[in-house]
Amino acid sequence: MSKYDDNYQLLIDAINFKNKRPLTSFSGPAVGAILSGMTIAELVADPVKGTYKTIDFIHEIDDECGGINLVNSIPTGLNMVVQISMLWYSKVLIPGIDIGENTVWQVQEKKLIDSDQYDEIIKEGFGNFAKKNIIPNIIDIDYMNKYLKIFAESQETIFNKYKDMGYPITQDFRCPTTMIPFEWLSGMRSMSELLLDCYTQLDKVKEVCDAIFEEKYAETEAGLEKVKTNRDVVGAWTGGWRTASAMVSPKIWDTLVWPYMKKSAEQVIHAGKISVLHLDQNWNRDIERFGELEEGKYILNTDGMTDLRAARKKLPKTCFMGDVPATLLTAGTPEQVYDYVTRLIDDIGPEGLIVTAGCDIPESATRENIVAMFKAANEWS
Amino acid sequence: MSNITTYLAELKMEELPQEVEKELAAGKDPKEILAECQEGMVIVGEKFANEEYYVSDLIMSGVLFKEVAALLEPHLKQGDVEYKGKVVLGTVENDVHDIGKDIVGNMLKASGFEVVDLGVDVPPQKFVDALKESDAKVLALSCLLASCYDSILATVNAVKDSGLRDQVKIVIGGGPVDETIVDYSGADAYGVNAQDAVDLCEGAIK
Ligand code: B12
Repeated sequence: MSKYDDNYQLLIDAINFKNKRPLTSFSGPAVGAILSGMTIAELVADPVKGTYKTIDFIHEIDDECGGINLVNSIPTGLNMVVQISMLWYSKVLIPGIDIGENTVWQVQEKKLIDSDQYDEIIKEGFGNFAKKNIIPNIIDIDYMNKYLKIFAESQETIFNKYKDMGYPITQDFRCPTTMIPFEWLSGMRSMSELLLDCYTQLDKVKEVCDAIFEEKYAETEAGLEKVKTNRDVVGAWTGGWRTASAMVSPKIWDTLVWPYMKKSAEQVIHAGKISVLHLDQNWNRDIERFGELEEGKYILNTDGMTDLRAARKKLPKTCFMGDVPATLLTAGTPEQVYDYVTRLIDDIGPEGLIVTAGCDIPESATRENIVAMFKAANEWS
Repeated sequence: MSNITTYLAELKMEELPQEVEKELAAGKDPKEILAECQEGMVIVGEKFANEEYYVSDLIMSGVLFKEVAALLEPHLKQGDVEYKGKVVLGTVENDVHDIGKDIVGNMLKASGFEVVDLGVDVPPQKFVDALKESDAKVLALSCLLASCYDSILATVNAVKDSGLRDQVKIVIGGGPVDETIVDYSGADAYGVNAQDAVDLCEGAIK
């Protein structure tokens, strides 16, 4: 069996709680290129070069740490500014153009729409509305198109390269998913304005969320159809940041978060793919609810703020991917990182565990800390 | 407990402003209304600490508090409100997270501080200018990104260079900030939540 096939099998085992050792996954769209000497501005300007630098970086780390099994959020030739603008529907300042060479992209979350425009979204459809009212206000269309073209031309070769190196990609952009509308609306309305709407006109917010979700769900369905039979498209992610349990009240979570998150995950699972639930911030209050999803078909990817020890008790057979905090990878010592990972495995066991950074490895992380994170998993006994 | 305190503590978006208008019209002292609101904010803080309330509730209490303050303002004479002290607040350079900073700002206001909020992505010099202009004795910095520790350091250094360091206490907070970052940056103290921010600022002006 090839390294890729071995790792693929290990992934399936981990999701089904049959692995004996913890797995390791590299997740970080920028850090590999930055630690290889590129500036953030260069990485944004030439995302394909940044991707190949990252691939080389992962390869080197793989040798040093005793093996990396998977990759999760990795560069695939898509410009980060384009990616983040589309992910959050907010304007993103461009390193090297709007801001310094080595300043991380800045998301300018500000009010782009008023609450009386909810009806417009419902009437016109979200895609049309965004094309007219949002996208031109957050990104230069020529800039976006230029990089989408580069992405389209390079992505297949890049995906194949990851495969040749032996890494299944758990969060694969070729596999579409349906986002939680609350996250998009937060970007467009700003979080405090959206919350105000939630407290004063929850039914309207729900109505607009339903409309957005339905439209996107249908688009995702068509996209999933195309990748259904491609075994190498392993999984897709559904992400939550501002929708974390600690961020919103139970009423908002039950109405505007979980119903969509669940349907989004089920849609991916139904297409035969793995649902990777990317959970930033603290999800302790509601973690049990993920048990409503089909066992062995999903991964919870937490960032260090959700208590995995408590979660393991409530979800004894769920695959966890996490959760070394960004701060530790930046400001900690390799010994502290090694210790963190060792204790995590000691406490929740190696079964159903994929060791990786919380969210992503930040670009400010040190190389030694990244190696220590994976080494600890590989040397655990 | 007064109606105002209860309505704020229970985040009654419609009832609270109505009640404030009603009581003002009936001739109630606006300072008393403000005090009752502050009491309500303390209860909100407690509910958050007990996990009865979540971040969204803290944000909403801030929105409500602001609304009431705007209603009271025309009725308050200059000098009516006695502030405990002044705080310059902001999220450090290159960091745009403001949810936590805003909560800290609201809690500080609710506990009687005058807050000069400089927003997000604030360059060190702007903090220094605001300290000079306002004569504030506390600088509160929020930082959520590990890549922005150097912005905290640069801000502390700018305060040093301006000659104000021994007159100003610098407190820091935000997700990844801890004792190590206090040592690294030369700030005075850190806090993990908005209540800490209030306690630290109160300590700083004593
Ligand atoms: C919401 C969010 C966003 C929103 C911000 C919206 C906004 N208006 O603020 C958006 C989507 C825009 C965003 C963008 C980004 N984010 Co962000 N974000 C978050 C998230 C999910 C929650 C943060 C939050 O609001 N928490 C709730 C508030 C209430 O908590 P808080 O800020 O900590 O504040 C409390 C205390 O800390 C304290 N406090 C705060 N300030 C102060 C100050 C003082 C003086 C004191 C005493 C106390 C105090 O009191 C507050 C109330 O209790 C976190 C996840 C996490 N694990 O924290 C990531 C997180 C902070 N983001 C992260 C990253 C990397 C980014 C991006 C760079 C992403 C990217 N890939 O491009 C961009 C940043 C752009 C930039 N230049 O800043 C990382 C940071 C990693 C690190 N430590 O370096 C995190 C931790 C996610 C992760 N797990 O990796 N983000």
